[in-house]
Amino acid sequence: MDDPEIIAAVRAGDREVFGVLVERYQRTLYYFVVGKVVDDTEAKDIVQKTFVAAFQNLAEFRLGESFFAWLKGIALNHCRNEWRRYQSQARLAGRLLEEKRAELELASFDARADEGDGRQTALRQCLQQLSPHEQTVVEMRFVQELPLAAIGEQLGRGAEAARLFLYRIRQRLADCVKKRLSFETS
Amino acid sequence: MNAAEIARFDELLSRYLDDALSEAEAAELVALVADSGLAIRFLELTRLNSEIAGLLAAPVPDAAMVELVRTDIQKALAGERTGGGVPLPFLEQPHPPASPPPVIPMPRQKPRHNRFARRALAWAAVFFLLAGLGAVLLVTLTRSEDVSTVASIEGEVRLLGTAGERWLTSGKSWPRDQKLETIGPNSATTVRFRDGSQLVFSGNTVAVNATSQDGYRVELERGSVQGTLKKQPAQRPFVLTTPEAEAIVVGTTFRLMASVHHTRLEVTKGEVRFRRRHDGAEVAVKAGHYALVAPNVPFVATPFHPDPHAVH
Repeated sequence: MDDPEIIAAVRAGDREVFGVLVERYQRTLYYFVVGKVVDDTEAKDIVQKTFVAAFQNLAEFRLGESFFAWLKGIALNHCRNEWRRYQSQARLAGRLLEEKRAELELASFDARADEGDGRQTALRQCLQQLSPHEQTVVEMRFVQELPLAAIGEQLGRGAEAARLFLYRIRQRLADCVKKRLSFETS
Repeated sequence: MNAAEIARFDELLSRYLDDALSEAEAAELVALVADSGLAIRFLELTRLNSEIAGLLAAPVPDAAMVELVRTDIQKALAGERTGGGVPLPFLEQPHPPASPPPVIPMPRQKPRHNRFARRALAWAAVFFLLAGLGAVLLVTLTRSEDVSTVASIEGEVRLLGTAGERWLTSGKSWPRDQKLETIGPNSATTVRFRDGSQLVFSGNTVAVNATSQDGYRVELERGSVQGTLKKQPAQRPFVLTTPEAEAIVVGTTFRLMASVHHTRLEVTKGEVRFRRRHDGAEVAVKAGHYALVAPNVPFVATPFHPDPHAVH
């Protein structure tokens, strides 16, 4: 069944079939949302909320348009609201840096609406270019979520050395992603 | 911006990305990002950090997401109907359902056997898949002793169990039914659970790991614990108890403190159900709020910083 057929069926009362749309798009939507909110847990929550909102407002969807583009629009609104909430929480708790971060994110958010999956692809490629040793350190930090002291221990150095090593990797990845995207654009 | 300032910015940003920034350094970084070039670099690296974490994290399985969305839709529908809200327009087409409120999946009013059978089979497959995954998780949780691991230790931390007493070190597990004790005011330990949830116990704290097949459970006998919990299944929340209260957490950031006659819960992110044990009274404590269980104190959620414009 293609998207318009499913949407027509859901509108006609067959709600179970909405699950097919969730299966079809949830992962792609997750990778679209990742990086637009603070962490991956938040991204997963937003995917879930987006599908619920899409179901509730399906009557407003115009058949003939891209369902995924419509989902992305809903998800972006949720992300924006999430940053607003984050900003007010930070203000409440007197965390100036977090408040500033939310302010910067919100100020540049509209420019991100058209971001495709190019950034994700570029980041995957840049991660693959890291040496096996660097990949292990990235995994220790981001997958195993080990504290710096434990990473430093595994590296045979201290926590400070681990932090600096991780920062250099991040800088290289950021530059690599930027280069790949500018190469793609040109 | 000179080279020294840029180097300082890199140093502070690096600390921020690895949660190693002091309050004074945070204020310094705020001042530095007033520069537009550094603000762009700050956003670039904080976003990249979230993207790496998101890319390397395990995505939610399709069937699980379908189930989560389905449950939320059911709740939303039930809420709208019982709350007297406006029914969703397409729900009434083409055959308006009679009361009671509709649930998902809804029995088909016009039998279309082939499609119905296919769909029923699909849902049955999803059900069995989820049941299978649940069983595997349950067996794993029941069998393994390593549901939680000590990620870091400061000062002295000991473990008391049936086999006696031993000192804890990083990387060791905190087995079920064993009592963890941080000795003295300057000791602390971070315990990480299998799902990535994390509890940080401050000094002079005593807690028991009472995790069972019903979910993670920690009994705080005294002291203070700060938690950052991953989202838990609604039917198996993470429960923290004290002699006076229970905090039922589905996924959030909070701090729970227990002393001789009172328990205080502070929530910084998400929401926690907080239950007073002696009478079963319950309040929902949202982000930015705290609640206290203590004699002669109203059991309500209160903002950290009361609204100065509130009418008293």
